[in-house]
Amino acid sequence: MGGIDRISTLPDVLLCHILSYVPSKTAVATSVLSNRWRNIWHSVPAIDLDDSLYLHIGDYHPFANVAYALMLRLHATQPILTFRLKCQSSLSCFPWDLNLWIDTAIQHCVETMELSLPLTAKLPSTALTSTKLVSLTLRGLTVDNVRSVSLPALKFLHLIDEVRFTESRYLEMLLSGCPILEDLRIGQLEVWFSQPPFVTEFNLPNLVKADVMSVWIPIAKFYNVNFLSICVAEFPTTPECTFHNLIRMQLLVTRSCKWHLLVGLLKYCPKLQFLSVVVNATVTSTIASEFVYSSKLFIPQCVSMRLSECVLEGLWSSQDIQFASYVMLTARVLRRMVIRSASFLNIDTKFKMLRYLSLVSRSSTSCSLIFA
Amino acid sequence: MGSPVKKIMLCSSEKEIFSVEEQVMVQHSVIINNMIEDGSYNHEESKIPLDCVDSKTLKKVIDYCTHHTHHHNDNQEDLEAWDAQFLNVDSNGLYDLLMAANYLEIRNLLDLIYGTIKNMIKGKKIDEIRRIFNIKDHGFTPEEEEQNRKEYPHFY
Repeated sequence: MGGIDRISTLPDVLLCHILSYVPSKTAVATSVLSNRWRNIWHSVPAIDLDDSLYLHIGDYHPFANVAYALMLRLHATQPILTFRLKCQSSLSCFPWDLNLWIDTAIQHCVETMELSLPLTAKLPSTALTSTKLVSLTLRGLTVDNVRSVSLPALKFLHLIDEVRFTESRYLEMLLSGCPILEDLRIGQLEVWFSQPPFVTEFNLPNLVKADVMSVWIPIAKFYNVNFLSICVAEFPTTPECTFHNLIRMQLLVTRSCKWHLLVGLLKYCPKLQFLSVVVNATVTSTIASEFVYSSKLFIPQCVSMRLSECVLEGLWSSQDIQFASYVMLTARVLRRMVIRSASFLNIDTKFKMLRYLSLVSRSSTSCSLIFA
Repeated sequence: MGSPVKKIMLCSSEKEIFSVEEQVMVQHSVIINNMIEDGSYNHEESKIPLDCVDSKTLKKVIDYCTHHTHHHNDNQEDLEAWDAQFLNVDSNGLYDLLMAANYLEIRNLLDLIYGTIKNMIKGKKIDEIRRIFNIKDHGFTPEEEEQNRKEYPHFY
């Protein structure tokens, strides 16, 4: 049994599918594997180009030649379902090469496009007016001179690692041009010279998942999501909407923690099961916003009925500890309470914090406290 | 007590019968889901014949679907570890699983198998891939093979 080659006897369509998962370089190489594989790579509906695979070895055909060979042998009617282009060295190709390849992919009705390019590369305008594009992931490059955006099929938009928008309105235009977007991720964008911009002029009614760092977007814009991860200066004040579908919420707080505002926000998250707060703030709340647990304090429905996991990181002030106690005292179905104290605290303070928290009586009998 | 768990019968190429929770197969296999939905499966007397799936492979496919139905809430790491262990088979075993998953249209299992085959060949030289797939007769004439080796030395 062990000596028989059965993979090669798979039907063409399955072999093609296997090759659509590997870098184009490997797919092309399989043409000399055996007679059976000679032409399989011609019909692979995926292109995956990575210049780092071509940089070190002298006898390789230059990256650009391989890319052109791949793009040119495409039959006019053959779709490219997936197009990945990773190009980090300016020696690999010229900017117009990149534009030509991206345009070609768009003409071949690409559905999933991932571009990792240097900041000197600009996103061609054709990429923002494709009717077929379903998933777009950008790393690096610059978005400039946007005139119109129309991506009627786009469901996934991931802007990761230093995508540079020369004006913040280009980001607004991009978001406004994706009417059925379901999954939005905005990582650390190349920072604008001053503050991160406010981005408000858009509406994404189908959004299910939002993971947004480095730009300020009013929380009410995410009224339909079930997963929300955002960076805020402080907890938002009461929103004008209820987050009916929200199950998981992660907040990174950068300025100050006014915990009573978080309690206020939780009122509007009736289904929340998972809450994570990372405190990256060293300003303690003012007297007016002091948070002290008392039996009169309002308990949001999600805390008492739904919350099963709560992760609080970077805690240091007595207010922070009061909020942690409040959750343990009131969450009836809590299973895991994870607390990470701020790294600048000394060991004595941490020990006191742990001792205090471990003595708080827990409303849920099956709640475990994890402290680090 | 609720009603007993509904079962369906699957029949391997060796005519061995496997009784499986209906829900488990409906959730994972597009084909079986369609059969149940359009009423072409009769719970009293039907068996679903899977002539191209042998018992050993069918048992593994059922294991996969059962685990992923009952453990879908497990954390990602545990599931991935289980999947890795599950697919720790030789290229022939993978072939059988791929054909079965393709026939039954079990999408997440297909993705898993494609990913595994990808890792078997990604970044590998032709001679290595030939060994991994057991390609003994490449079908090229000696001249063609020599020509290829000369033209694309970095592939080998």
